[in-house]
Amino acid sequence: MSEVPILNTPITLSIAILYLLICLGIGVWSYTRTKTAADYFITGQTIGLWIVAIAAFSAIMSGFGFVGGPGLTYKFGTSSLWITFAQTIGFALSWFLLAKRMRLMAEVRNVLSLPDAVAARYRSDGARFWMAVALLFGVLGYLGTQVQAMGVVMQTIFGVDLVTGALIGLAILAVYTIMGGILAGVYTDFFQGVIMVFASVAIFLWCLHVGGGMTNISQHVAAADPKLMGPFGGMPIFAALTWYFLFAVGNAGQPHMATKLYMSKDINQLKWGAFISAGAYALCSLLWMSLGLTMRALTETGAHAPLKNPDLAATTFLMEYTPEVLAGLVLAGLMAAIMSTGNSFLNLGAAAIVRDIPQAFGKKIQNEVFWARLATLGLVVVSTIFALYMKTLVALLGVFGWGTFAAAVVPVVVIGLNWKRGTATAAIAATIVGLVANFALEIMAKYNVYKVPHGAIVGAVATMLAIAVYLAVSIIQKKPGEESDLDPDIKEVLEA
Amino acid sequence: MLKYSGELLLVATLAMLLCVWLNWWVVFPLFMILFIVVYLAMGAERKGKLGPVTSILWVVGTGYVILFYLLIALYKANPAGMPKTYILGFPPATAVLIYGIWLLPLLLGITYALIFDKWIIRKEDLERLQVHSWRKKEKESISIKG
Repeated sequence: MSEVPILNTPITLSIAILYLLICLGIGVWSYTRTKTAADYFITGQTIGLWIVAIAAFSAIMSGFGFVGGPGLTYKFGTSSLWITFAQTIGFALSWFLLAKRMRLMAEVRNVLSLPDAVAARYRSDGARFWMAVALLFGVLGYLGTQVQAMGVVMQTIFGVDLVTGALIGLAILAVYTIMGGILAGVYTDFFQGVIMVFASVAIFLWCLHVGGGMTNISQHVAAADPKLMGPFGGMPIFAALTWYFLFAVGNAGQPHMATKLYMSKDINQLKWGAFISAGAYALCSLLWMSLGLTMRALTETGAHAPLKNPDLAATTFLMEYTPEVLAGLVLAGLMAAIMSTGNSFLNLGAAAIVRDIPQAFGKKIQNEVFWARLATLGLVVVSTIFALYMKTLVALLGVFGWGTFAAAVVPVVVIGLNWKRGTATAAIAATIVGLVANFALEIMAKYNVYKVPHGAIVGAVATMLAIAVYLAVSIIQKKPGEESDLDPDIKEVLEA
Repeated sequence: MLKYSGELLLVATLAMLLCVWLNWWVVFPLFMILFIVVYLAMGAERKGKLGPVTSILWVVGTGYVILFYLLIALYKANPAGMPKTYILGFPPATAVLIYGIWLLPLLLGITYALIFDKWIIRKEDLERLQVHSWRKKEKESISIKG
């Protein structure tokens, strides 16, 4: 039997191909409607509640969640549940802290990206520049996750090797993103989000059926190692706790989620967004939790040979234990998760290259839409090379990307839009510290030079450092009751 | 609290970092919860007041403290041994994580919707901000030039 599970039966191939054709169709439709930079980057602010909320959750639930999550659960038990479970508080915090502010920002200023919001808040092109740089690095890291996850899924569906699989998937992603920009992304996000929710609930119920119920699954996993079913799993306790912090607080710091908040056609449509996003994500967490544990239980009872690559937990289960139609639907859901997030990142990265960095130097590029499309292509190539070089588990590459975003965006944008004492100096310092800390700690750990103690997650530590720098510098510069320099319209946004 | 929210967040953040370096994992959740509550309060406040959000902050903050420390107590009672009982499919400490810590924050999503019109964004906020609307300014500028 192949080491990598292949599920290229007629039914699964049909569902997969149908799904890809629908995505391409949405891309073509969006192309005809994308005329301006506002259309390309923020849908021209034309979308309603359900699309905003489902697209916001769908952007967060990526290949990381659908391939990497079960992989981590398979290997470490309940440890990684602290990642996915943090999103219920994470979406709530995002809505309370950012939803209104971002949408009002889009009313008073012609903002198309997060660095636009940073420049408006701090009246600083330096802050804009560093935010754009941080976003670009985060995009490359996170896109790398999607590349790897795509390779695994395409391998399963079409029986091709990992690299070819990644390239096929990326080609489709690149085509519909280049054509339709974020408009294509948001509508496919919605379509994909709906698939992911149904697929997750279905697979959760099927896992209970195959595993003989949750208690049975838990008992078999615990028999191998009781810690795996304990509250912190097989990883160090601080891994679990710092993951919870990073994903709860860092949700609002994810630009692919945050920029969706610019896009609603009416601010009153944000009302139920927190509940819809959090609820939809919670349903998808059922797959993350159940699939990895069930696969582990099956290997512990001898029903299946141990997996050499934990990232194959999801696809192996689909191939060997799931009815074809359900497998096809879940694989479509997997591709959905990867592509929706990939699209968001490509748009973010393109905005950083074509708008944010040039504007930080006082330059404006003509024909932004054309150059954004070209930048999108470049990002696909670079992130593919990055992913293949890193050779890290899908989920761990995702955590790296998440941490890079969180460290840059949480202090500067999330706290900055809710705290008038935040200064431009603090914003620049925090962005640089977050970026450097994240990369330095990650590289030092990879080459065994230095590891953050007690298993704490690098991204969480980098985010805490960036937050501490932002707050400390601002507190030194502005006493309680004092405010940083704000334009009158921005002040209204912060006080609304 | 809100006047010193920045200072409180800074203290909570530095305390979390200290806990990491000193391996004080039992204390860490307390500072993390403090951070989350103050962070949430920053987003929910209007002109220095919390209004209807005060009660949900108390519920979530207290709920989190109880759940985290119940989880820790159950874990410490049997850290590496085979679970003796299962609650809805999971060992007791894990059940607290899954049925408590995971699901408690859904209350916040419901709260947000319930207080949206009275507290989060009001009609007068939108009217005040209309003055600054960039689209309106652009139209006015075009009609003046026209």
